[in-house]
Amino acid sequence: MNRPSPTPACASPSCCATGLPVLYLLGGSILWLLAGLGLALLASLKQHQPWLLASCEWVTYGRLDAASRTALVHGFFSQMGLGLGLWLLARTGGTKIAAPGIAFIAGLVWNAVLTLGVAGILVEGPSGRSSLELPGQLVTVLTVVSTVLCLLGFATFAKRADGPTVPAQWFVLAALLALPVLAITSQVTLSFFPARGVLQAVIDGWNGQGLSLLWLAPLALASLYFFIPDIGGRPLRSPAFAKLGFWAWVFFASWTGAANLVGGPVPAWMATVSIAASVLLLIPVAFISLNLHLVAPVSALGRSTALRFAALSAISFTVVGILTALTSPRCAQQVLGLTQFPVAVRELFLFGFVGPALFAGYYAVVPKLAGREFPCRLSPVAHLGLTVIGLGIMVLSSGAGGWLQGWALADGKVGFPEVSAHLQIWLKLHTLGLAVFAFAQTAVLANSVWLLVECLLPFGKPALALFTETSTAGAGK
Amino acid sequence: MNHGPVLFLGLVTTLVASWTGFVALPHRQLGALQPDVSTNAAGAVVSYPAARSGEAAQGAEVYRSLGCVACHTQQVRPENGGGDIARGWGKRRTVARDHLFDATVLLGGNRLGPDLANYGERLGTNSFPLVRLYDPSSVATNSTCAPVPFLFEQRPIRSSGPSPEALVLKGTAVPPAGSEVVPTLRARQLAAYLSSLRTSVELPEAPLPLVEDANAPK
Repeated sequence: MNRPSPTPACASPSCCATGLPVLYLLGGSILWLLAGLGLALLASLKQHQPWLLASCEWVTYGRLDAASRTALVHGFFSQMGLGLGLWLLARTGGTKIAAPGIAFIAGLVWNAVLTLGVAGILVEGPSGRSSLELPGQLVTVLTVVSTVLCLLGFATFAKRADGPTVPAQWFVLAALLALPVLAITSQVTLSFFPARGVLQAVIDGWNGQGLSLLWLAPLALASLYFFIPDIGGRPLRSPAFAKLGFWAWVFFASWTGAANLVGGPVPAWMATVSIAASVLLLIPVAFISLNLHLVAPVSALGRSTALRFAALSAISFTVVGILTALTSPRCAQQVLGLTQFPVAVRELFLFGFVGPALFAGYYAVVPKLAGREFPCRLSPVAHLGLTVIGLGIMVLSSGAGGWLQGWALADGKVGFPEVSAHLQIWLKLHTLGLAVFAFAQTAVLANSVWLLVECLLPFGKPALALFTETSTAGAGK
Repeated sequence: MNHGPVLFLGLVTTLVASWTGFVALPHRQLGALQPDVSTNAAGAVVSYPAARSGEAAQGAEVYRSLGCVACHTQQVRPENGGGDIARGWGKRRTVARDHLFDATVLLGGNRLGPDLANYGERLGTNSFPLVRLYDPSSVATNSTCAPVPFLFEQRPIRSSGPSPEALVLKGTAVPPAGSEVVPTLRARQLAAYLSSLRTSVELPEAPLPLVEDANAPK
């Protein structure tokens, strides 16, 4: 695959131009990851310990659940994906991010608004729209800020050096185009002029599926398409597969809008179209998986943290694609819909596929931008290992619990208290998995903070000098 | 695919198609939905759904704000779509018209708690047991429903005697001697909302079953 020559985007002293906004977005997202997981852990505990902190209105289960989802999706996944996406556009285009100052300020506003928003959810309660729980006025600011950041991405792409584009660029552009469309539409139809009746649920579902499949997934795939061949040192096997995979993904993913409304009070054709699209997503999943797995340099896994995270992500991507296709049809949704089972699929998608893809980029990009390696070599190993263990427990407990819950609910003779009682053990296991998973993420936080301290304190080599050495030495990797 | 414009146009076309399918077309199909007007057995003209009373509408806001939707759905799925109707959660499936007047439609996506689409009907002629909000496990054994004691006030019993609204509590929930637990306005609003949840009205698109199974398990 043709790619501009590996000129580090940041080889000159002006590296701040690309570095600062990207580092800010990446660093901020790590803090949100920990905050979101903390809230999620408390929410998970309250699923089986309803009396925990019951007298405090701010931490009802519903508020914690909405606040944690918001912190994770908008604070961690979106912010880190955006930072990496901008870096990828600059790197693949052989240029720098357009208007880095504006990007930095937009990042500041994003984080400020989100902080207010999560506090707002805890104090005032969630909006009731699962894809956008933030209070209405703050959503307006977030829509403006994210649109500005997306436009900066386009400006960066427009500055690229001549030459063929690469899959990573296509996927980032798809994401940057989808986000404003989703954000502006949901802002207008859910907040400014709320649609009547179940139309709200339809648009909310479409926005939620879009945020997952047209915003987060393309950003994660861009990271995989760039870093697996780049670090592994093997070009993509088939550019034609990449093209087919890309267009098929964008096309089918954009028609899965009502996948969560099967059997719900909406016209049946919406669910039918979404089921068909969810199953047909297997086509791009196959193309993309083949492309990524074929170049997977197994021998290089030992020496690159980034590559190990990318491998976990690529495997989860294939599994979640197959799982979605198998459980989307109406007969499966009748049993598994409205249970913990979709929670398992969603966790595998977010924490198994999107998260590790972004962390592959994080471990590869941050040392380049900061000008030094991560100080602790053991920490990424612990991070990955505990992530796999925690995620495994989470997904299996939600999946098995949801499966049993679904079959019990489908049988009208089983009383609800019985269904609820049988679910308890699985909810407790889920809390355990989540705790391990959250603990794993403290490893990356500690390592990043240590790196930041080393960069700021005046000991050791000056950051920039060290960077020049590693960048020339690392060019051949 | 070397040209930005081709990529850009392709993506815009895809997104516009999706927008048309899931925003514009549904709006065209559902946007003009009206209440169903019919004449009941007594010859009176009735309109369904009717707007909620003021207290119940405010209760819907309490329901939204506490995030109850995280555990409770409000959608009965069709008979061939699981055990909802056999379970007694509704006499017919929920349709779009049922939610016509909801300020915020809260269909829900996970049944950690029971479906509430017809909770008011399940109460029958009883008034809503407020103690269920204060201490759910006292009403339903092993309930994992989160109690909401902050919607209640614990206060000394007044000289005029105990309040008629005071909750009758059991076990560890009993307040110290000389105090009583009374619902606040928000608790009464939430109770009014939950009691107002009923959808067993025949609609052209969702007829009621002809023979009711009196032995249907709850």
